[in-house]
Amino acid sequence: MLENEDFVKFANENVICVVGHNDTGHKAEVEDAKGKMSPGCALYPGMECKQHQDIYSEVGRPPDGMPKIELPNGVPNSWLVGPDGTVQKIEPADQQSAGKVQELLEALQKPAGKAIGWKDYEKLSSAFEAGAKAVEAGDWKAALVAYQQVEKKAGKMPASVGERLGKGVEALNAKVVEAFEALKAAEDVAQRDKDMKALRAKVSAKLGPKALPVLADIDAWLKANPAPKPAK
Amino acid sequence: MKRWLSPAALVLAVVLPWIATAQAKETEAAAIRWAHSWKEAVEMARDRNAVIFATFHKDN
Repeated sequence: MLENEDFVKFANENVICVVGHNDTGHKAEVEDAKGKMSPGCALYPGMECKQHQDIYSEVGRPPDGMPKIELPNGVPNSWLVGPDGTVQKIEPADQQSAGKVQELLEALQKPAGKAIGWKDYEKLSSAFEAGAKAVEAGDWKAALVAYQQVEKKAGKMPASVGERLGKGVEALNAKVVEAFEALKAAEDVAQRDKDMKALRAKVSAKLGPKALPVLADIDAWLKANPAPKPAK
Repeated sequence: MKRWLSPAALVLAVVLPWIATAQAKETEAAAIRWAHSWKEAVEMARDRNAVIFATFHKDN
């Protein structure tokens, strides 16, 4: 079943696949023609034997809040876990049938609503990564551009995307608040005014209907601290 | 002295890498993309609102 091309395509796009295998003696992938070593397990490409061995034991004693699978003694056995943590065993008679497993996966997905496909998830992850990197680098404008890309799609996606976006925006706002506070303390009044207006320009783009909360504080401060009149 | 590739060699030079890339993509497409840990799988399932398919095996 795991070699069934249609199932592989379906699973890679729509499902999170996990394999537990309590043996570690699988032949490692070898050195390629350019001399590059590809470490890992030849049986489960992209994994190392230790990882599929660890999964075998992790599912039975997961950290708090994570779903638990009570593995029987015999193998193979297969399971489905819904986004809400519901665990469902696939009956032995069904587990080798790609069509039946796909049917069960789709049935469990249905009440949870649409999943984010792998391609969309990759795009989202890139945008989140770009946003976080820009925040770290102090490039507020670039961070807002990255989060705007997410915001445009968030409304049609699962709530998890909105939550993740909220955390990213919160971190961005906190960093801008730090920059705002530092600028307020600057002594050169003319330069301070110039820099404050530059900061405002960088963070004025809206995320959907909302601006960053710090923008209102900057505006209030600029109103209360008008630009000094040029000396005659 | 200038050295020129024969037309046949030129065709091979262009076609062979293309075939290799196509084969690599085919191999890639025919393999399941596995999560690397139970934690990673659960977190990604929550992020993507997706179902986990977990399967357990042993040698022979």
